[in-house]
Parts: sequence; C-alpha cells; structure tokens
Amino acid sequence: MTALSGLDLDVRPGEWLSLLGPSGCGKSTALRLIAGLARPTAGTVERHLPGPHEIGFVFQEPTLMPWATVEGNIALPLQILKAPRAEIRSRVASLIERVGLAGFERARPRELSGGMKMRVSIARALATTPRLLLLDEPFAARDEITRARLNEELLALWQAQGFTVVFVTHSVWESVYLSTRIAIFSDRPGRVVGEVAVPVTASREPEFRESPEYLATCRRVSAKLAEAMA
Amino acid sequence: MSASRLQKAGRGFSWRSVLAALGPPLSVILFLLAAWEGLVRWRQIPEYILPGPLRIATALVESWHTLYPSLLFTLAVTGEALLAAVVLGGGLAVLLAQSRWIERSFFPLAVVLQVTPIVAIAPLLLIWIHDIRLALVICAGIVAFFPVVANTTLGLNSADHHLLDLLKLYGASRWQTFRRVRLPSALPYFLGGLRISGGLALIGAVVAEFVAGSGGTETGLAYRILEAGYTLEIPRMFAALALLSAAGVVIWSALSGLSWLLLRRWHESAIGRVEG
Repeated sequence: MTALSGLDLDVRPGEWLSLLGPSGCGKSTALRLIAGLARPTAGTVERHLPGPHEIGFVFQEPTLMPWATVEGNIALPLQILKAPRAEIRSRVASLIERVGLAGFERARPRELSGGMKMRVSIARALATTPRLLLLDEPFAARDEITRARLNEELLALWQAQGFTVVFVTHSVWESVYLSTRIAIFSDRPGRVVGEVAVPVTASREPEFRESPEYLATCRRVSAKLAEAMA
Repeated sequence: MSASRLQKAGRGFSWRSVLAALGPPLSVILFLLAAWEGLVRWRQIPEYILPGPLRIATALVESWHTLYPSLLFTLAVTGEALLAAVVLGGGLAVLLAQSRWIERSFFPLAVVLQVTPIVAIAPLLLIWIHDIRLALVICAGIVAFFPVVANTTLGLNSADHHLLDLLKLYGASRWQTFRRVRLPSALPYFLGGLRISGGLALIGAVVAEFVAGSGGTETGLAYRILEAGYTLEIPRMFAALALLSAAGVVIWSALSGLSWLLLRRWHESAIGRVEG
C-alpha cells in the first residue's frame, strides 16, 4: 500500500512545522521518513544534521521503559551514545527540572499520571539537545486540560531552546496555535496539498487564541483541509 | 500524592495481608486432614490401605534418617536440572530471538522435546548414560527446559516496538538494544516460565528415578516410595509422598517470591499480588 506519493516538503531551521491532515493520510510515515526510521521506496530524504543525536522523537504514547525510573528513562539516549556518567547525571537533573518533574526522579512510570509520563517522554527526546524534534500526535490520547498544558510547556521549551519542530496533528486549532507553518496533507496516498504560514509576529501568548488573525488563519487552514479531503 | 508515598503503596507488606493470604488455604488443608483422620478411625481402615495423617507423621519421624538424605538428593537433582534448564533454555531463547528465521528453524525441535513424554525417553537415557545421577538430571532438565525457552523467547520478542524504534534512532548496537530493552521486557515472561519449570523439574526428577528403579549410589524420594511399596509400608510411602509435595510447594513459593522481588517495583503481576 502506498502511504505517501509525490511528497515534497522542506523543513526550515528553527521553525515549528505542523503536518496536518486526516487520520491515515501518511503524516506519521512522513515523520518516520524524516527520522530515518523508514526508508522511502522512491525518492530521497536529505538531512543536514551531523549525527543521530540531532533528532528527538516523541511518540503518541509516552513509550517509557516501565522497569526504569524517571531518571533512567531520560538517561537512555545519553547512555546509548555513551556520554560520560557525570554529564548524564547533570543533564538528566536539569531536564527533570525543566519539565517540572522535580521530586519524581526515582518514580516508575506506573506511578505517574498520563501527563507526567508525556513530560518524561519529552525530556527524553530533548536529552541529547537535538536540533530537530519530531512529535507524532504526542498528546492526542490525553485529556483536553492536560493537552493544553503540555502544548504550553512545549511551546515554552521551543521558544527558549530554538530547536526545529515537526509536529503531526489532526487538530486545526492546535496547529495554528503552535506552528509557524502548517503543511496540509491530502488523503491517502498523502502529499502536501497546501501550506499556510502563521503570522510570525503573533506572540504565542494564550491571548493569541482570541485574536482575529488566529481565527482568520484557522479558517484558511480549515478551508484548505476541506479542499484536500474533497 | 508524592512519589515516595506512591512507591510505598506498591510495596506494602503487613502480617495481616500474609494472614489473609495464608489463612484460607491453611484452614482448608487442616479441615481435610482432620476429616481424613476421622474417617480412618471411624471406619477402622487398616494402615496398609490408608493410614491417617497422624500415623503418617509418626512414620515420617521414624524414617527421617532415610527420608531426609533422599529428600536432599531429589532436591539436588531438581535444582541442578532447573539450573541447566535456565542456562541452556535462556541461552537458546536469546539465540531464537535473534531472527525469525532461526526461530522457525529451531523452535519445532524444542516442541518435539517437550511433547515426547519423559517416561519414554528416560529408559534410553539410562542405557546411554552410565552415571545414573547425571541421567536423572538430564531427564528432569529436558522437562524443565521448554517453559523457559518458550516464555523467554516470547518475552524477548514482546519489547515495545516504539522503544525499539527509539533505540534505532540513536543508533543503538544490537547488544545495547538487548541489554536495555529486550532483556528487561523478557524478565516477567522468563520468571513465569521459571515457576512452571521448577515444578516440572521436580516431576522430571521423580519420574526418571521411577524408571531407573534406583538413584545409583544415592537414593531419592521416588525410590523410597517404590521401596516402601514393595514392603507394604504404606505409612512410610505416604510420608515420602508428603515430603515430595512439601518440596514442590517450597520450590513454587521460592520462585514466586523471587519473581515478586524482581518485579515488585514495576510489573503489574507483582503489584496485583499485594493489593489483591
């Protein structure tokens, strides 16, 4: 089965690119291609990144090791890349602080709430200080309140650290709120049928969601999405 | 709720919970023993047909000097067989998990070994191997081998696929993937297999000794049962049988305890044990 066909997509440094489209349109496949977890049957993926540690990946589920503590889970990528022990320890401690999990260093995933598990997952993805963070509908399975909070936190991390984000979602509202650019996918076999740039001047404060440009952008994206599905 | 409090809830231990767990089965056993004793006395059943529990207890004490070394012998054979099953079975499982192709080629052989009754293989092994003790260990080992192999293979292949993707993303080596994710994922499965294998090793050791008709220079509990049967010392026969059952229960409990110790912090099976 062909998941993607005629896909042409550039990811620009520092942007927050959302891949928006109906379920099963191949957005996740596109993300896996970018990560190098899958190979295209035709065509190429060009990556201008020096090493494997330059990509962080967050799955839809937290995907933690249930036997390991919060610390252990976040340390995993660094251990695989054979970072020095002392460096791992200080890096993990600062990540735990940054995602607001201080006090839970030694807890196992089963002792955490869904939102906390997701934070561990994000901290793990950021452990290697990647230049590119890939997120595959990361909060789709969370409740509305948790989802909004996690989005806020992720936005703050992105603004503070300046990495590039590719974010798969099927929510128009979410994509417009978070992104600098939105690529709209058609139904299977997926390809990019339209792009919408979100006004970069817009400050990403919660008030942005009530602004006229937010609503206007949402309307444009929705229209393109409707076109793509027709 | 704080992390430490949550952790304590998962590891809760109290004498009340032990009593709640052991009380009902112990009551049932005591009741059955009392009913047995009562029936034997009331119907005046001769002891060469069915001795009462008290008579069996006396026989156990009287024959302790012969039964105890036999118990140790049977336990030693069981333990060695289980150890061999864990080492070889675990090793084979690791090999099988390397590729689907290897699994498809070799797994059927393990199944053949499993489904062929040990009683049928034992005579052959006893002809080939002159050291009877070694033959007993091999017989028991064959029986105990399969649950370890089957469960551990399943466990090694059950690792979360997204986690495996993540390791691939960071360019993890085969060894890193194995140690960091596959092995811990397989642990609960392996321990489940181990518990079954423990009981099977004991059964294997007893069956093989029955077939051998002797334990070589030493004598196990199976031969004590045969011996008591020949001389119609039925209470002694029951005493040996009781020791075997007790050994089986101890092995099961020890392996369950080990499993709980290793999994109590994270695996649902061990957590349910305390709360349930």
